Order: sequence, then structure tokens, then C-alpha cells
Amino acid sequence: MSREKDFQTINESIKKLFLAEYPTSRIKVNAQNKLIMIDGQMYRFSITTNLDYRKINLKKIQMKSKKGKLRSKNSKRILTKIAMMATVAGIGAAVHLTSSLNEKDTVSQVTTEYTSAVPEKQTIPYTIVIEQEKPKENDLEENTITLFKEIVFTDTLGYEKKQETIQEFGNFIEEYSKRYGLDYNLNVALFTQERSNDRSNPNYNNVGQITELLCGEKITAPVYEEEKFIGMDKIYILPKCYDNYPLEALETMGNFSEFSNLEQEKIQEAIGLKKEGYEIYRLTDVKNTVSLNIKVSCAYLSYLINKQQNLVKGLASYNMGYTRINEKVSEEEILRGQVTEADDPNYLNNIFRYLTKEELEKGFTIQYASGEVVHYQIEGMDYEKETEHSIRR
Amino acid sequence: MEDTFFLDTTEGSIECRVITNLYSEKRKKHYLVYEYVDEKNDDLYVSSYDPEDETNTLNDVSDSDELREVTELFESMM
Repeated sequence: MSREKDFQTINESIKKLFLAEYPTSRIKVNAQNKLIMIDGQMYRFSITTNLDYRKINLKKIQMKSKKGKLRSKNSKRILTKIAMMATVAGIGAAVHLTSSLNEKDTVSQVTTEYTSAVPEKQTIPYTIVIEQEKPKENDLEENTITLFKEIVFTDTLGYEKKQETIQEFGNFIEEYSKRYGLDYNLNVALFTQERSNDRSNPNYNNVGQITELLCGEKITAPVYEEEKFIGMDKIYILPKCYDNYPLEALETMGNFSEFSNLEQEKIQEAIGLKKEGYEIYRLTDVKNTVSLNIKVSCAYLSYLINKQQNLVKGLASYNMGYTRINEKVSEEEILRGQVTEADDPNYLNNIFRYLTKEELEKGFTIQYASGEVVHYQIEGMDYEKETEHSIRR
Repeated sequence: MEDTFFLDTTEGSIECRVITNLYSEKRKKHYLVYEYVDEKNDDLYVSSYDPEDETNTLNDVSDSDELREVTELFESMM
């Protein structure tokens, strides 16, 4: 068997292993360079083993850029015109241990060297460990949000609304804030600002005020477990026209002749995305199921914060739309309430008014998909000043 | 046989190992993907280059969109 075919087999075996662990993820393997990509995130892998277990260790890496002059007697060959894969490294540089699935789909240790005969197979349990150190306090990147406009803290009614948010929805807000690396206190304030106070309102369960505008958006958000990155959630909401049809019938409904061309396109897109591991939801379910609503709202917020690479712009985008908060709009304009085309130019202050002084002093911590953990310190305002209507908390 | 080279930068010389070459049809640019031989640094590096350039200059890919596209191109080659 040629070396290339050897590596192809190893790549496929390792890919199968990871797909068993991350069934909805996009996995690419390059065994000769000990690289794995899971949903677009790159890792180096190494395998440690003993008689009782095998551990595949993953370390998250980045692709960076450098400039300089290349110096080598093989420079002409290296800087070729034709894109080609690097020649296979020697066996010694390759993965020493591989695994392949036997007929019963269990993991078995096959060989330690490609040139040696395949020994008798034995089944060994395995675990996949993603190496990610918890950032130390002084390693956190610090950032500042300057309050250019006075916060008018809420009155008694506002305080009660916030307490209701915590009592009724706090569990889900906590769960999904942790899942997507967001700040719990900030999210409680955001959902308090967003949600309806009127229980008789049919939109009452739409805590995050998800609208039709989100239909057809490919939402991807990094997922954390105990503050360690474990993968990506991918979410797609079907157009409103699909609300009265069963989700189970999505792939079998024919050519959807009762829908417009654009609606049909979106539904076809959803069918394709489902195969790529996207979670597909109906708008009506997202608006009316509280847990799903908070999940999608938090995922969408994380998606926007990561897309904007900025908490203030991410928050503003949640209310005003991503395209409105483009690179020409500054953080200061947002915080001064100067994005006048928005329905609520004072959106950020309207969220902050539900925070306590202590919560503002503590600041917010956000985990970005890049691996950065950023702590935002709030400054610039005398927020000790309380209005005559605010209460001491 | 693996290809290695020295990258001469303003910070000194670094020994590198070639991972692959890439070509972007969209940007009409060539890229070299490589890693440091010193395994303490696990990251991958990418630089753009002109095959006709005899000075063997490797250029920075500083634009984040371009870097993202190169990463996607690399993934598609895996």
C-alpha cells in the first residue's frame, strides 16, 4: 500500500473517531502534520496510550502570518507556481499509533509502524481530550466600556420586572450564557429590557424578541463546557411560511409550490444545512418555547459579538441589525445614543439601567470564538448618582 | 523528503517546515503554509508570495478576511 494511501486510511479512521464524538461537526484530518480541523477551528493532535486507555490530545492552534525572506537551497521548489500538497513526511514524523474501526465499529489498536505486520487486534477504550487552559485572572484581556451618557437606573417597577426575569427565566439564561461564553448579569438585563411585561401578550414567551428578520440567517456560536471550548452550535430558522408544517416533513414535502421562490430557496437551503449539522427550527417554535427562545437569542448574541469582534457593537447589532452597525459606526456613537436611524438609539443604556451598581463595577466577561477571554471594565460615569425614583440595591 | 527553510525576519532567523502551498483563484495569489521546526510553537503560519519574485520574499497576510479565506482554503485541501 502506498504511503499516500496509508495516510488516507489514517485520516479516515481518525475522522470516524471524531465524528463518533462530535456527530454534527465538520471534521478534516491531516495525519502527517498532526492536524485536525473541527468546524473550522484548527488543532494539533497527539496520541498517548497505555494498555488500558488511549487518549487523543487536542491543542487549539491558530493560523498566523509572518513576513520575511525565505532562505533555502530548495527555494525554487518550495515557492512553486503550482499549488500542491506537501510531500509526505517520513514515517518517523507521522502518527505512530492509529486506530481503525473494525466490523463492529469499536476502536482497536492496529499497529505502531506501517512497515511492521499488523498485530492481533485488541479493543482499547479511548477518550478525546481538548487541551485548553483556563485563563488566569491576570491573563484576561482587559477592555473598557466608557459610559458617555448618564444611566437612568430603573424605578421600582423596573426592579420588579428584573426580579421576574430572574425567577421565571433565570435558569435558562444562566444555562445558555454559560454555553455561549456570555455574561449572565448582562443577559438578565438584556432580556429584561427586551421582554414583554404583559402575560396576556401572545409574544410573552418570546423573551429575546426574536423576529422574522432572523429567518434564513446562518447562526454559528462557539460552545463552552466548564469554560472550555467544545465546538460550535449551528442554527437556522425556517421562513415564517413553514410555521404550520411539521419539521419532520422538511425533506419530504416536495417542491413547496405554495411558497414564493425566495421562500422555497430558504427551505431548500435548510435541507442542505441540516446535512451539515445545522439545527433547523420553525420560527413559531422559537418564539413560543421559552427554553428554545433563550437558547437562540443567546446563540444569536454570541454570533453577533463574535462577528463584530466587539461587545458594544455586538449588543447594538442585536437590536439595530448587523448591517446598520458597520465599521463606520463607532463604539462612542453607540454609547452616546447617536445611531439615530435605530428604533432605540439608547439601547445599551436601556439595558444597563437594569444592572446594579455592583454589577456595573464588576464588569462583563465574554469568551470569544478565537479563544480570547475579554473582561470589560465599565468607567466614565458617576453611576453612584441615583435618580429620585431609583432604589438602593 | 520534507522541505525546510530559514525565514529571515527583522527579529532574526527562524527554521521552518513547509506544510503546503495554496493558490487562491479569487485573489490570484500564492500562499505558503508552514510551521516552526521548534515544536514549542504549534501554530501554523501563512505568507503570500510571488513565484516570479527572485528575492524569495514572503509577505504578511494582514487582512483578517484574507486570512480567514486562506484558512478555509487550507481546510478544503485537507
